[in-house]
This record gives sequence, structure tokens and C-alpha cells, in this order.
Amino acid sequence: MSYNVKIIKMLPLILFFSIVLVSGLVLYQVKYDLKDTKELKSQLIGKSIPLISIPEINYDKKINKNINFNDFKNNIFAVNFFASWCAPCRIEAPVVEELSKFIPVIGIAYKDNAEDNKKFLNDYGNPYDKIGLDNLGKVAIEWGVYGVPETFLINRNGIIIYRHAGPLLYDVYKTDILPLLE
Amino acid sequence: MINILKFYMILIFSFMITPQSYVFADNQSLNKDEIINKTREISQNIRCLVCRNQSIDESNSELAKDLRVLIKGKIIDGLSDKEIYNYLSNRYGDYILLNPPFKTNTILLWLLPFLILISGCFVMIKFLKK
Repeated sequence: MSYNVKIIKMLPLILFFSIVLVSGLVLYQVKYDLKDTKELKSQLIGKSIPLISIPEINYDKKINKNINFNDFKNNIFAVNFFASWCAPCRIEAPVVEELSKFIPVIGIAYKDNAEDNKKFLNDYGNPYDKIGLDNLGKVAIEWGVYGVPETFLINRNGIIIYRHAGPLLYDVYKTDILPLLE
Repeated sequence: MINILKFYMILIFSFMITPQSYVFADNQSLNKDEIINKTREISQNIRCLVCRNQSIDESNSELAKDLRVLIKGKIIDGLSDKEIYNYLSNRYGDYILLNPPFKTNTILLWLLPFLILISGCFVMIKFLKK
């Protein structure tokens, strides 16, 4: 048997093992990235704030105006999507309160109404500088939000630099957010 | 020998040129049924990010409902399918597309089957020749 034929006979075997190796490596990676795959990366990191206008929540049915992000220009600030009906939002309330001591926090009430929202803020505190209302969830889609609560950090140039999906817990706040504020 | 090779090449390339079924032209004069059908068709290609392994066509989550309404609105506005897919992946990433797009990081995914097929063909040709 010539040397060439031997190699050709071995080819399927070599191919098989190289596929096993590659898929093995990929699976290995997936296993260790599991934490990352659960929380999706935001596509908006490095981009400026979505242009969609957000009406301010209206507790006493007076005037309607939109949130003006220019008020927060030249400041790092946070945008926090929350809702009165959202249980994890209650858990993160003290951490958002803590965050609001350092930077302005804009709350966006997702599929909420003014009455319930007011009650929520009475019970769990109001850390927000401004609160917008997204009753149809359209603002959330523009921001790439897939569930409340979600928290975004916006830098001095109006660029989104960070997004956390899920309740903002103290360890996330300490390891991810505090270093970005310095 | 060359004829066999040619045959396999033609066979392989004919598999590669499958029609893209979801290419439609923009149309503002779609009737109600057409809008619904098109909404469903696009929805079937969009991943529900709440349930992750369902399309938004199958899912009952709030986000899926909102996205279906949004897609319907965009169809009525006359956006092309491609523009709608782009709109969604710009906000939620390629992960939202159930059909992974052909990109540098997915090139192996798309080409590996063909590579395996081609190398298989070569091996077969060599054996048949013997």
C-alpha cells in the first residue's frame, strides 16, 4: 500500500477527531461563559442614547412634558427601567438609592401607571431625579431592554457605557458600577 | 476523474444556491391578511429573549407581544424585511435572529458542513478510482 493511500484512508479519522476537538473546545467555552450567555450584552454600549422621547410621569394630571436628557449633559448619569409590579425592582431599590447619592438617576416606569408607581415610590423610596413613563413598552424596545429591571450608565458625552440586566445587587454595584464612576 | 469532480462541484454549489424565501419588496398596499401573514413570517424568525428557545410567534411573553405589534407597525410603514431584521438586531444583537447571519464569527458554522462534504467527496473519489 502506497503512502498516499494510507493518508487518504486516515483522512476521515483525522477529520472526525478534529471536529471532536473543535466542538469540544467550543462546548468548554460555552460552559465557562454560561454566566455571560444568561445576561445578554447590550448592543447600545458605545452608542448614544436612543432618540425616542419619553414623557414624564404625570402624578397629578397637570402638564405633559418629555424628559430632557440635556439636563444631565456633562454628567455621568444612570437610567433605570423599573415598574411597580416588578418584584426584583423592590430588591434593588436600596442599591438604586445608594447609586443616586453619587449620580443622577432617571427612572423609567415600564408598563406602569402613575397611581401604582406613586405607591411603589412611597413604599420603597424615590431615588430618581426624573421619572419617565413607558406605558406601551416602546421606549424599552428602543433601548434594547428585554426585562425589568435594567440599569444603564451614560457618560459625560451622552454615550451608553454600561448596562446591567436584572436587579442591581450590591456586589454588581461594587464591582461593575463604582469603578466606572471614578 | 475530472468529470466526477465537476459533478460533485455542481452538486455542492447547487445546494449553496437555495432561494431566500423571505425577500419581499416594500409594499404599502398590503391587505390585512398579507400584513398578518408577513408579521407571522418575520416573527417566526425572531427569538423571544424572555424564553430564549421560542420564537416571538410562539411566545406569550409581554416582550414578544410588543415586538409582534412593533413588527406589524413597521410592515405597515413599508419597511422591508431586511430593515426590520436590522432594526431588531441593532437593539438586541444577532442573538435575536433565529437564523444566524453569515459573518466572520459564524463563517465556520456555515462552511464546515460544506468542507466536510467536499473532503468526503475527495476521499470517495480516491477510493472509487482504486
